[in-house]
Amino acid sequence: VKQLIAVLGLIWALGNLLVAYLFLTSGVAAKNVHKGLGVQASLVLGGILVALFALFLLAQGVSLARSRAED
Amino acid sequence: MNRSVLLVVAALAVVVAAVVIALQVFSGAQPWGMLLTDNLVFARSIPFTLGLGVAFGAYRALGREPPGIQQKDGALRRFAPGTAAMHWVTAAAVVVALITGAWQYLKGLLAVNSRVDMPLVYRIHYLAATVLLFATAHFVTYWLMSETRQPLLVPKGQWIRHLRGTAHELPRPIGGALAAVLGLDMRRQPPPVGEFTYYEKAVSFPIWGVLLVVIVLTGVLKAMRYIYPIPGDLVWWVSAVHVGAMVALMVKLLDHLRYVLAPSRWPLLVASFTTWVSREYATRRHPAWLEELDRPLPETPAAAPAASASALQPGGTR
Repeated sequence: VKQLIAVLGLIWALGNLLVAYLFLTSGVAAKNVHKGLGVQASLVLGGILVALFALFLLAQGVSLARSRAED
Repeated sequence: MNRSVLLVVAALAVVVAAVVIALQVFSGAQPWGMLLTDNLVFARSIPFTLGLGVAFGAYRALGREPPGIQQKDGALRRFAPGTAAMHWVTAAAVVVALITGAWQYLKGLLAVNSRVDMPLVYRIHYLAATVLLFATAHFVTYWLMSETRQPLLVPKGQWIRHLRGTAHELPRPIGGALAAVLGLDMRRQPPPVGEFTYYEKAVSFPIWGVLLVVIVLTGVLKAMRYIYPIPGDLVWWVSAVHVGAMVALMVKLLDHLRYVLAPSRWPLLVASFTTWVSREYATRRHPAWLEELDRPLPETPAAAPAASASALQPGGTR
């Protein structure tokens, strides 16, 4: 069960990394310049935050998957 | 009043509302497409969903046994079964609403065609939102009507202690930075942890509460815009805040998962399903909770009948 939960956590983290990538690339894309600096900055900041916490979860998921079954 | 009456009345109101809304939808009187129909059905159902949530929360609060920490076979009950069940109902609603909400937002942001029919994405989003509204109304009512909220909150005058406890629980560089900014004395022993950790009480629960309230309120306003005339500027700002809250919820959910998936907290994750945590684990990781349990009851006539072998001390299950 522990490994299954860890895998689900890893899948969720990877999905969020993809979303973070889309936020970041959209934030700096030329086609979104007309939306204003506020929108672009929000996308970049949101992307960075989501990516950062997704990486934390990724690390925790790996740690859980590798932990001993009896813990 | 019998607490069941309240729940039955609310359930009947929901059934009647569902029938009336369905009759309107299937009458063929309106030329709306699937998306607008779903939006109006969702908007009209909101008062009844909230009412049912309030009634269910009141039903649970009025039916609670006297506060106490239940024990069996070397285990302590950390959550009431209803609370654990509603936690997972809320979790499922949040996850589905986040996925469908992000899908809508990214489709517009990337200006691409969706591979999934968009009205279907919205329909699932509204269904998840309905469940989230019900769960939120239930939890707010349940906590307001019972003392179960107390262990989730930072008591008056305890913020410094909780922030110091939080700083000790965080990874050293982050905890050290927090302590430096707030002027906390990290040379002192960290205060013993109670039923819930300092991080949960001082950081996690308040953020969850604020974000859920913001996303629910803005979502309700957005849904109501075709029923009540809401100024366009206000709808724009409400939509922007709704999206901002969605991104913040994505981050908070990642943080929550990071926290609960820590190998050292595995028994707590298990407890969110089984509602029980071993006394041995509680002794090691939540000593202040055990102190609460082992503290003698005040000798009052009112307290005496409430004390039993299975329900011993103030606090109780959430």
